[in-house]
Amino acid sequence: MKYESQKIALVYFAVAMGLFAIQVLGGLLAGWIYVAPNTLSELLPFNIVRMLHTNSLIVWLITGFFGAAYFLIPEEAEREIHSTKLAYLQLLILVVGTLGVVVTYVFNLFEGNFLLGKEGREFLEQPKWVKAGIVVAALIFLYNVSMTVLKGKKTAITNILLLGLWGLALLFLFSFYNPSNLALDKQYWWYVVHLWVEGVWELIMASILAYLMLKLTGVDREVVEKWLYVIVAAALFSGILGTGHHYYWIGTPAYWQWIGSIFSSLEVIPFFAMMAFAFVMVWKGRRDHPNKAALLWSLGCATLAFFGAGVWGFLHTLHGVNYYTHGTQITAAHGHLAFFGAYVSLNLAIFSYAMPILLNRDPYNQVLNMASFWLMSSGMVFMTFVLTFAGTIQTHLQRVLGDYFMDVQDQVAIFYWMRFGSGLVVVIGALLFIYAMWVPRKEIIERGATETPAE
Amino acid sequence: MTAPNPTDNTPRHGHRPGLTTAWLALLVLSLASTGATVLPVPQQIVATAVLVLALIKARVILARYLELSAARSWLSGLSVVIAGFFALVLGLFLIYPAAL
Amino acid sequence: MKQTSGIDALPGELLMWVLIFSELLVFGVGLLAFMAVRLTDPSGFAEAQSALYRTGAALNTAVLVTSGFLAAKALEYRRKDRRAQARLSLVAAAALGCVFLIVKGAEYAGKAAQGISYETHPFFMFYYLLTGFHAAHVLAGVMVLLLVAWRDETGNIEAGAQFWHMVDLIWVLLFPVVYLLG
Ligand code: HEM
Ligand SMILES: [Fe+2]
Repeated sequence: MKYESQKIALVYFAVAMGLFAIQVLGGLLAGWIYVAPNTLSELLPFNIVRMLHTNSLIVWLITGFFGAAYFLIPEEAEREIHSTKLAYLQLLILVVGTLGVVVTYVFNLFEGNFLLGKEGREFLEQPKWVKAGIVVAALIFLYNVSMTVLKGKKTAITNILLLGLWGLALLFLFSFYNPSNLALDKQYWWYVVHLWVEGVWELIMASILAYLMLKLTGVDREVVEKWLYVIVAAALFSGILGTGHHYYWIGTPAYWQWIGSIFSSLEVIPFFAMMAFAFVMVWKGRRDHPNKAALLWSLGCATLAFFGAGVWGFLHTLHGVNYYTHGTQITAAHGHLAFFGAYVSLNLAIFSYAMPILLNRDPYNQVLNMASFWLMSSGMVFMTFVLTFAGTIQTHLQRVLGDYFMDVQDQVAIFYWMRFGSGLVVVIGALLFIYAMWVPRKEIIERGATETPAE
Repeated sequence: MTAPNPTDNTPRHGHRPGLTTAWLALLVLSLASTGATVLPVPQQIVATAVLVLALIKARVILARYLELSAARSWLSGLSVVIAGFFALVLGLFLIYPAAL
Repeated sequence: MKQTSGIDALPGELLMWVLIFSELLVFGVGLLAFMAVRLTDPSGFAEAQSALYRTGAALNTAVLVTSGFLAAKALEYRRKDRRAQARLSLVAAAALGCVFLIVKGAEYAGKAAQGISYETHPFFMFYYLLTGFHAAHVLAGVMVLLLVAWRDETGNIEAGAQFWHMVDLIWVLLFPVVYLLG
């Protein structure tokens, strides 16, 4: 670690990993409710469990991004973070907000209250006061990192990262607008959700991956930057109008079917480019970095993002297909692998890279981390297949033959059992990852004699 | 066409028609394609002629305006892609040419 | 010694080429979709197409390729350090872009006067999507040309001209398919 203020990242990562644990446990519970529907139906109904699962996902991913920014910006800008105090204050606000959210949901406090109550919006489910807190935290963050970059060295990586983070914060403002008309609500809701994961988050992903590739493979910065620019251009070009793939059936004019189909199909390109980028860099790289786990997560991230977002996204993005598959288990299959591949793995990759440096544990334990990669990845991939099968059957029975929803659910129950099993493997992998990050102090893998640590 | 030598990137100014030629060619080709539509020949032939003329125009723009004449492999690659595109268009058209 | 092959062989600004390829893909796929949907109702498409004003569109082709010529000329001038001529050519190219837009505007106004909108027939939905999206690029291109006439470093003019040629190229693909076939 070169800069003292990089330490800020450590607390961010800690909070992120805590929420990660809550997220996957919540997911496991939700998966159990699928097969045993009466579980906790009074105490903690399914909609609340699901909300916890999805929202804690979003919150921990963003917390991880913040941490990643605090970790890599000092190194890139070659100076300390503008204000350490502000960074901790920002985290405090986020934590208080998150706790507020959880308490509000679980006990359903202030029902119907404009400022304090729930809103019932997937992924963006926070009482207004928490939303305001998030905006304040985001402003503090943007001020803090922008000041650092403005005073320091500007690199393509920090520029793109900042662009992505600014976009993330600005788009969040749409979440304040919650029209009572459900179609309008959805239209604006996607401005946040879609333009996040298929727009500005991709910039964050590309820049963090670029940073990792730079460190892990030792390829020239110039080469990395060229890739980065091309990926970012392709992502924005396709992703912005790609929003149209959510406007097929919500009452927007029919031409969205074509705009959405065409542009969102092109969204595959940046994900493919990121995968190609990662592999080409490793192949060209001269450096044999000892942190094999971080490299594994980086390559896994790029690959699973391509399959989860790119391939599984394309599967149902043409309006002729989506007419049948909309809102089935196909969507769930895609949503899971896309989030895991692109953003969960990305965070775990940067954690794997940064934690040993932050904790001064270089040498460190990689075997457990790598095992956790294989557990989580194979669990998620298996879950994706299972849900895809379930979704295909569901689409046929329900959308083509016209059977009733609940009858169809009974017929695909076997898949929900298998999904629970794969979810269990993922949870074990996640807990193992957290353990491997924080607990072991001794190295297990021998470090090669000729290698020198990068930096 | 012979495969371009990737290391040979000397500008081909010597035997390269100028911009003015390119522009005039584009005008003539445009006129020709509009003219083709009023000729008393079957739809299929008109369509083929129009698309071939458009392909040549696209190539002129790529080669001269966008200066791909200095990057032959890109020029041929893109030409092939555009030719493929027009072939598909023509194929789709020929399934049901006489429309009215 | 660096060998120029692959993407390094592309003349001008790399990001412009990324844009050019992306736009070609979008319009290419859009035009193919148009041709495919036409098969569901060939006579309806032909009838709708006969409402288009071909002469105006053909005129616009000439306007656009001439404008492209001027933009290419501007780059040639700038490389020879004839800055005033370069600027003049760029402004002239932009002016022709405006002519294109005026003709296009008249075309749309004519359609509107006949009560034709994107909902009239699938043909017109594609017509408005494709030509409208292209016209939006013309508008952007005019602004880009004026911008690089003002900020006239060679690299800027190069990128601006690339954008403008892309608009030209797309029109050359679009015009025969939407206006002439049928
Ligand atoms: C990492 C990037 C991505 C993530 C995290 C992601 C995640 C998600 C999630 C969670 C949903 C479900 C939303 C809901 O209905 O509540 C969804 C829906 C959808 N996604 Fe993605 N996605 C990504 C990329 C893509 C890409 C690249 C495509 C297209 C090529 C795509 C196509 C779709 C479509 C069509 C739907 C709507 C499904 C339906 O109609 O039910 N996604 N995505
Ligand atoms: Fe989307």
